[in-house]
Amino acid sequence: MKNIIKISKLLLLTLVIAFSFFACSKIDEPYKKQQSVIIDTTGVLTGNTITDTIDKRVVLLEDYTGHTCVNCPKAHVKAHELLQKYGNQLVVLAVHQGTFAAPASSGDYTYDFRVLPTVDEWNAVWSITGYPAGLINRTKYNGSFVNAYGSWDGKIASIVTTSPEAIINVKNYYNTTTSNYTTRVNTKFNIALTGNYKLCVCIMEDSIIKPQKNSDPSIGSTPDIIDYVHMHVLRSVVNSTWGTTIGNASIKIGDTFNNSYTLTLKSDWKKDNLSIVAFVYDASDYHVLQAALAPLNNK
Amino acid sequence: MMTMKNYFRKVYTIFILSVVLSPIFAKSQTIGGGQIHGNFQMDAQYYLKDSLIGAPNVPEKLLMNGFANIIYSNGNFNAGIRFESYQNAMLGFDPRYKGNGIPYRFASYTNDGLQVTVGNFYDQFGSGMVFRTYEERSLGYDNAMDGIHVKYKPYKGIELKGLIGNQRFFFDKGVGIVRGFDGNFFINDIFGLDAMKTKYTIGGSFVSKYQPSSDPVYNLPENVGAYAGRLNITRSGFGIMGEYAYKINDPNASNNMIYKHGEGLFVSTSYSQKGLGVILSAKRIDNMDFRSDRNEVGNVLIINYLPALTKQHAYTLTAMYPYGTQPNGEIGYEGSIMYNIKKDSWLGGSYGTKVSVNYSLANSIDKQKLNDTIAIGTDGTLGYKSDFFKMGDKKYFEDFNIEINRKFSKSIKAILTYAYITYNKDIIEGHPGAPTIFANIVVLDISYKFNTTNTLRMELHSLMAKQDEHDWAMCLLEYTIAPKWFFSVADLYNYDNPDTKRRFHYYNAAFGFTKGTNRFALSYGKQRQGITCVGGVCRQVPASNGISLTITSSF
Repeated sequence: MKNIIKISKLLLLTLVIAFSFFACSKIDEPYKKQQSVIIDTTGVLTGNTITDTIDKRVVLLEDYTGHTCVNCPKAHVKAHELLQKYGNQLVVLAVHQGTFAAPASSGDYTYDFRVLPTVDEWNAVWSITGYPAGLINRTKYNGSFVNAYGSWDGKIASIVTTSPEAIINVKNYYNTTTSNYTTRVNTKFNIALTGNYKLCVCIMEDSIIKPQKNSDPSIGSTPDIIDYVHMHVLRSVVNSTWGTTIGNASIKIGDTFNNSYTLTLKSDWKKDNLSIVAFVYDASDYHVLQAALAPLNNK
Repeated sequence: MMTMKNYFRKVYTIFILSVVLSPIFAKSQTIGGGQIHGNFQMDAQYYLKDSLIGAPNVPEKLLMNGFANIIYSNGNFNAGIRFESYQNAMLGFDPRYKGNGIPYRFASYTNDGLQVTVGNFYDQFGSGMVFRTYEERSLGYDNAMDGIHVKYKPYKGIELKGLIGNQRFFFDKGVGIVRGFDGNFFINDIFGLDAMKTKYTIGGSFVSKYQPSSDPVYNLPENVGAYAGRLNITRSGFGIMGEYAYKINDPNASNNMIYKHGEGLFVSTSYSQKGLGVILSAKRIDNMDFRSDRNEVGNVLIINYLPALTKQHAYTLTAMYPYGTQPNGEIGYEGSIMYNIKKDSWLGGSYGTKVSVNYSLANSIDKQKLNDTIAIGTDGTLGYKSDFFKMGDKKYFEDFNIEINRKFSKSIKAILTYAYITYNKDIIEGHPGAPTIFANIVVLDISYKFNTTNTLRMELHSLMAKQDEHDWAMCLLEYTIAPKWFFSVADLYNYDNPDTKRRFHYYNAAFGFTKGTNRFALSYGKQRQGITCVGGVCRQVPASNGISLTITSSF
């Protein structure tokens, strides 16, 4: 009997210590916070040029995807929601890369959205193996560039209100004589920096209707959505895989760099659906300082 | 006043200096009455270009993983370190393993029933569903704790454990703090019922992780707790054990930020008598991905282990389609019967015959919408509803296999294995849209012993499937001159690949030399792309072609 009393006391004490030591945070609804991020929805784009520059942080979200990846439409939907939420402070680039983006020899998936070898060279650094996956400003979180789409919102929200290290102004011009498009990118640094900083300029196309594999009936038919509308598709990188160095060694506050590129457009790209995406990044660790987007034509 | 941190730093410094300054690498050494022992392993591969089989380009040409454990023991005191080196990590291992370091070091003593460990440690509570830290080098898996671990036996039959610390994150530590407590109560010992044939053990665990949050979108739980209760009853050859685990809301990157609680149930019964063994097990797992960092995915910072209920196959083709546990939802069953047919019988032959039959199944769990407007798994909601005992509509994995092991004479013995495996590649490998594979596999393993030292062994494999890369065949010849030498050649041939240009031979030649506790193995060959799993935890294996060297040693 003595033993039982002694053991019972010991057990009780043990349980009290254990449960009082480890508090649990049971969360009740609402699970999401009321929106506290202030989004500029006034817009600064007028026609084919930017009359003013966004002086707020513009985050680059690169969505690594593929046409035979059945879970990728879920990430596309998430990216669309985030664009509605963050407006012009978010630029989405759908990077078709890897096995799921490779064209089939026959059937619905013979088309190829990959920009080779650029996208493979990029992913040799990010090491994405599971799709869909995204890069937020090419920044490492806990040592990895790769982010599941469920975590995109939180990571974007954590940086979108911070002040940008640089501001980017993109203007596109059409020469009626030569029938060429030119894009001019003006980058101005807000802070003093040392190191190697590069500008990358890409062409992106919206609203391309091509088949896409899908596993989510709430998004569309399964396993294929034949008339899927592909958005933000990376079409080309204008100034090579890793872009152009615009600032080396020492950069002072207010330093400005102007870069112009003549664009080569393929005949099957719809010009009214094309945009120029530009971003500046730190070449030592790839993290993006600022991004910008400008449609190619008046709409 | 010296802080605790500085104190332990000083202790480690003295320990490491004593190791470095001692001639320890020849054999066990005595230092002040204690003993030093350890082991070493190095795997290196020189990679050749082979874009046909899909081998990635390796700019370094040569990659190497290596480690050495050095342990000092003196009575009730133990201390040790593990040095690791990745120059750079071999293909298939996480590239965040980079460079050199000492990620594992500990000191431990036992005194009057109390065992205290400071530094790194591994441990497991019950079946591991709420806490298990361990290392599996073949997977590049190491979720070691770094902190304080105490174990105390206050009374006969009572064992209490407590721990606190961070988890290993490559050469760094994770952001979350893990706290745990576990009790094991051996009822017969406590109440002096030693003579009773039926033995009862009950146990309970509580684990909590703390990770701060300033997330602007979600209201996140900073303290996530999980608990488990277990019961184990044995009587003669019969045994039954069961454990139930529960985890509170834990939105994370793996479950797409849903707020549903997690649950795990594991039950296993066994019966054995001379010549017969039977095991039946079942489990149900729902939303039990538990990590000390909610943002992580992959094999890092995992706090718990979800027991695997599938057979761990050893042959190349039976292991071609292995199962990986699905922490976000699965129901699994496994049954095994091992029977020894008596020798000198018509079926058993002169030396007896061992027969084992094994069946396992892993299926999705039932998931239903919370209401008409919220899709299953929507972030920022409870995710879904689930009927606990209802199976889902997706089969993840099924394996029926028979193994017959028979010795025909003093020189000849053989093992015949047949397996029928259903493998949902989409779910297990995360290749959405990939077809489910139905594979028939036969392996014949024959050994011929020329004398006490010379043995020739041959494996013949056949895998037949109408999906994925279709049919495979393999032959392996291995000659052993015990105890020092072995030589082997093998060819794995994908002779029925539907893409006729991809009907590759994956050949391999190897030899090894063992002297004392040192072993050297050199091989040349090609590796097919696939996955490898140990205990339901998997990693990708990229294709490769090259020369490999392995050195293992202990002292």
